[in-house]
Amino acid sequence: MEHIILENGEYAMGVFIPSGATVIDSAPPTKAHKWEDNKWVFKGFTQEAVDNKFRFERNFLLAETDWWANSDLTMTQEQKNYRKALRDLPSTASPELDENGQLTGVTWPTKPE
Amino acid sequence: MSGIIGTDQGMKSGVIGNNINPGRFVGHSYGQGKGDDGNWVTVENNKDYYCTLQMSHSAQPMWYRGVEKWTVSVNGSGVCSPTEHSPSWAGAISVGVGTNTIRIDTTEDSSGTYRDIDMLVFEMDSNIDYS
Repeated sequence: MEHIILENGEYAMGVFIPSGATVIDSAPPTKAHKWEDNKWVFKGFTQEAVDNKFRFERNFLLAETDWWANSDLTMTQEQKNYRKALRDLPSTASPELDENGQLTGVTWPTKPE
Repeated sequence: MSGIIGTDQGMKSGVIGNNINPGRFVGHSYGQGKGDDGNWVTVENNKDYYCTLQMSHSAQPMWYRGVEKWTVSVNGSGVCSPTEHSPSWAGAISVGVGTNTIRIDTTEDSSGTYRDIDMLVFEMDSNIDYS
């Protein structure tokens, strides 16, 4: 299995090396890295990528606790607070993505036991 | 090398001996989902490929779904043609194609309750029943 830079500059992996492609020694650390001068260079994430990642993570955490709202259950105040904190996050957080693709600038609420 | 692969390993039955390619693994495309497409995997002209897709994380365990399968044919010009397939649990997930490349494609419409989509790509071997 090789790490490959395609003729159009995009990264690929595989055993087949297409015409015009270059074999390199590693995968990109994140999708915001481009192969330049024989090394991966961090080019920064777009605001859209930051927003998508933040929304995706928050919505995933909300979905993870949707079952708390089942009609045959009663949510505790801590559970209600947790879900409200997640819903309020867009107004309080300043999300960014670092060079490792990790979200920063977000204080995630602690999920109750 | 030699050996026997039995019925619990994805084959109906059979013996794989020396010098027979048991469906070579050629690449792995990973995407987070929800618009985050996977990396490209290179594929060769005039070959057929078997792709399996699975999500690694679901917001709720009860929403885990089974492995989805596509086959992709590559013609003599590197044009890739996947079989038509839309997983019922994530219809906006598909096999994206380029010239001599394929990847897992997701769209903003794909479910936000699934993430980390992995597609494994195998070169098909005529000795294996993929049905």
